[in-house]
Amino acid sequence: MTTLADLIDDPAFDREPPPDALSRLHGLVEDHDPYEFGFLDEYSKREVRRAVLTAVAVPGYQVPFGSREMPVARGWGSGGLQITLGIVGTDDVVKVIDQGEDAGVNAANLRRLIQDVTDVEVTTDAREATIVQTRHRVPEEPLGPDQTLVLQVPVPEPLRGIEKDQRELRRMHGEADYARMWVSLYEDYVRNGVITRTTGYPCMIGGRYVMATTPIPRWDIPKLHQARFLSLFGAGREKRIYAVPPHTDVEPLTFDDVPFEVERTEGAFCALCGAGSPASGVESFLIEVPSADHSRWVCSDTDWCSRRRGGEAVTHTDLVEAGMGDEPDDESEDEA
Amino acid sequence: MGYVAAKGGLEAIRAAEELVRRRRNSGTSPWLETSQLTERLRLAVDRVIGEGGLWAPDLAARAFRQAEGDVIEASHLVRSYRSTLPRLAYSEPVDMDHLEVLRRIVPAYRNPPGPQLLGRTLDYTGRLIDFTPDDVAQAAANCEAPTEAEEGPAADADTASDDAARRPGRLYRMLRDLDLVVDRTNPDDPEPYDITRQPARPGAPRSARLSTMARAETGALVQLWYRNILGPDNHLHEITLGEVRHGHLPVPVAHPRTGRPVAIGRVRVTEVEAIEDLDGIDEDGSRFDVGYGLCFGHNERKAIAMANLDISVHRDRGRSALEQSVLQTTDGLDASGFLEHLKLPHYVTFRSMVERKMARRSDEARGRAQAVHGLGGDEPDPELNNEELCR
Amino acid sequence: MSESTSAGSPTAELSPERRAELLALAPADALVALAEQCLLDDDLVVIAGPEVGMVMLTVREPIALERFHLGEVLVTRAEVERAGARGWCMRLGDDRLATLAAAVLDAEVGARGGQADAVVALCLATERDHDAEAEREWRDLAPTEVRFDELD
Repeated sequence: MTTLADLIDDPAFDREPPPDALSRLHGLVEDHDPYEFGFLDEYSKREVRRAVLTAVAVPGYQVPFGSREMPVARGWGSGGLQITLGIVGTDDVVKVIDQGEDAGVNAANLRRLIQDVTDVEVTTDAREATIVQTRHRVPEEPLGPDQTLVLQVPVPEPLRGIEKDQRELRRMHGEADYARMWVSLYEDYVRNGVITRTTGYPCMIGGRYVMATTPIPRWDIPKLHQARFLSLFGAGREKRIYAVPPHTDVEPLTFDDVPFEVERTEGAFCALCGAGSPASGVESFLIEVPSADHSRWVCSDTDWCSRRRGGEAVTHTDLVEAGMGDEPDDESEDEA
Repeated sequence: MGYVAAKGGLEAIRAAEELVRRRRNSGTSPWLETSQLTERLRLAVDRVIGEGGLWAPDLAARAFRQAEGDVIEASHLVRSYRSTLPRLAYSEPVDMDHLEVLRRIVPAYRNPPGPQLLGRTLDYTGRLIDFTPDDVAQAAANCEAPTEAEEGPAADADTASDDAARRPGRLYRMLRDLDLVVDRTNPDDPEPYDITRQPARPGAPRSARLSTMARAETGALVQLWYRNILGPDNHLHEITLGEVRHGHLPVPVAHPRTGRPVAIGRVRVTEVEAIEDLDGIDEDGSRFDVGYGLCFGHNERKAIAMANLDISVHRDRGRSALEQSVLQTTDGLDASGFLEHLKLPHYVTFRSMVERKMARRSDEARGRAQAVHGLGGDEPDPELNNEELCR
Repeated sequence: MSESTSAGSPTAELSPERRAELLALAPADALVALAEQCLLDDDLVVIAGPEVGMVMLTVREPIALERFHLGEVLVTRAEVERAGARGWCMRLGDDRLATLAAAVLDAEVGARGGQADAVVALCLATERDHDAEAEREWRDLAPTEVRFDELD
C-alpha cells in the first residue's frame, strides 16, 4: 500500500524542480498585505455607507447595522471608527479628539490606527480637517459644509433610562410617543428645581425623533442646531448609526418656561487663553484643574485654545510644554 | 499642512506596547510555539475559537499567545481580523447526524442507542494537583510517544468499522419515536438570521439566538443560566441532558462546477440536547420539549448552558426580558469593551455633572423645588423614580 | 474506501467532488512539489485567488430542523485554468501557496495532463492516511466506552 511518505519519495514528487517553476508558483502568491486600505473589507464599508445614507435621510433615527469588530474595544470608539473608515478617501484629512484634546491617549491611539490603515493625512487643526472624529466634544472652531463630524457613541438610546424593553422602545420611537420622557423631565424639574440631565442631553431632531447627543456637554448642543456640517453618530457595540444632516433643527427638550442651560461657572476663565473672562469677549467649554482652595480652568479644546493664544496655529508641542499635555505643569503662566 | 504630532500620548503608548512585547517574548523560558498551545492548551484555544466565532486553530493560538493568555483579548484579535476578510461562501447546511463523535454521553438513559463514550475528559478525575516532578513527567511523556509497534490490529475491529459507534443515533429521535416530545418541526425552513450582518433585536428568530449563543462568552452563558436557576430571574428548571457530544463536523461547500457538496475539511464542535419538563398551563404537560446547544471547539459548559437557555427562551415566548438578555448581554467583546471603556478619560462629562450638582444647590433651584414639592432640593424623594439618563 | 490503486485508469475512481475533498486535505508540501512539476509544461491562468476569506458554517439543528449559522471558518480559495480545464480548490486555513498548488493539480486531472495519475495517486494516499488516522483515533477512544451487560 502506498503511503504519503512513499509518494513524497517518488520521483514525481521531486523536491527540487527547476528554478523557473518554483518562482512561477511562489510568484503568484507573494506580496500579500493582510490589511487593506481602511481595514474593513469592501462589503463592510459599503454596508456602513448604506447605513449612513439611511441615517441622513431620516435624521435622528437609529439605523441598525451589522457592526464589525474593530481593532479597538467595543466602547472605545469602534462605531465612530467604522464610520470614519467607511467614508474616508485618500484625499481626506482626519482629526481625532477625545475630550477636546488631540494628545489624549485614546485620541492618539485612534489617530495612529486610522493613519496606519489608510495612510491619509492627519491634522490637529480643526480648520484643515475634512473628517473630525470625536469623543465627548464638538470643536469650538465652527465647522463648514465640507467637513464631517463623526461622534463616538457609547449609548445611542435616549429613552433607556425610562424604558428597558427594546420592543417597547421601538414602539415609542415609531409612534413618536415621548410622553414618558416629558414626564420624566417634569419630575426632575419639580424635584430638583433644575433639569439635572448633564451630558448627552436628549434633543428633538427635525421635529420627529428624540435623539441622544452622545455624551457631548450641553454646551455643544447649540452647535448642532441648523449646523452647516454633517454630524454622524456611530455606536459600535449597540450596532446603530444615526445622523444630524446640515440645516436640521436640533432642539433640546425643555419646557417653554424653563430655559435650556449650558455649563457655565461664575468667574471661570481659561488660565491659558483667557476665554471666559469678560475682557476676552469669547467663551469656551472649560474643564477644571481642581484645587481645594483655588481651582483654575482651561479650555477643553486644546487646538482652539492654542491657536487663540498664538493668534494662529501653534504646535502641539507648545501645548505640552505649557502644561496641557499628559503631564500637568504648574509653571504655565501664559495667561492672556 | 499643519500636522504636528500630538506627541505626549503617543510616545507613552509606544513605550507601553514595547514593554508588553519585551516582557512577553523575552525571559529565560524557551519561545512559545503555537503548536504547544493547540496541543497542550487545547481548551483555551477552543475558547478563543468559539468566542471569536472563527474556526482557525493556528490563528487562535497566535492570538492567545499575543494576548498573554487573556481569552477575551485573544477573541477580540480574532474577531477584528474577521472584519478584514471577505465572506467567500455559505456552507451547505450540515446535517448534525454527520457529527463523528470523540465523546458522547447520554445522562437520561443507562443504555441509550449507541455508546456511552467518555473520550478525552477530566470529568471523573479527582481534582488533585499533579506533583510529579517535571523531569519524571517529561521522561514518561517521551516513552508514550506513539510507535509503529503499537499499531497492531485495531483494538476493537468490530466497532472500529462500525459507523454507528462514530455516528450514533441521537436520543431526540428515540424520544420522538416514543412520542415523548412535542413536535417542533418547523416546516417553513426559514432563512437563517445572520447576526454578523444584521444586529439581533428581541423578536428575532430562533436562529439569531442560536448564533448569538454559539459565539457568546462562556462565563456569560453560565452566569445567565445560574441566575435563572438560583437567582432573581428564575426562568429555568434543572434540566435532564439527552446528548452531550464532542466530535468532528464536516464543512461542506458547493463545488463551483457541479454544485454538489465538497467537504473541504472538518471542525470540532460540542453539541448538547437538553430535555425540558413542560409544566406550564398552556403547554403539553404529557410530553417533553428539547433545547439545543452547539459551539465550536470542546466546551461543554457553554453548550449545556446554551441548550438550557434555548429551550427557556422558547418557552418564555417574549414574556420576560430573558430573550433580550440572551441576545444582548452575552457577547464577551461587548460586555468587556464597555466595562473597560470606563478607564477612558471622562473629564468633559464629569465636569458637566459637577456643574449640575452646583446648579441644584443654588437658592433659586432650592426655592423652586420647595415651592413645587414642599421638599428641600437635597432631600431624596422615594415617591419619584427618575433615573439618570446620561453618563 | 477504495483499495485498488492498480486499476487501469485511476482518474476514473474519483469524482470531481471527492478529488476536491482530498486535495483540500493533502499535505501542503506534497501539493506544492507536484504542482511545480505540472507547471513545467503548460500555461496557467489564475482565475481567482488564492484568496483568504471565510465560509459561514450553516448547520441544521435536529430539534425543529431549523438552519442556523454556527460561525465562520477560515479558508483559502483558488481557481485556475490550464489546457482548457478549470481547477478549483478551497482549503481550511490560510495557506495560499498550497491552495493554489491544489487548484493547479485539480486542473491537471481535468486536462488529463502528464501528472494526472500522480495527482490521483496523491489523493488516494491522502485518503488512506486519513482512514489510518481515523483508525488510530478510534483505537484511543474505544477503551473509554462504558460497557454494560447487554439485554438480549
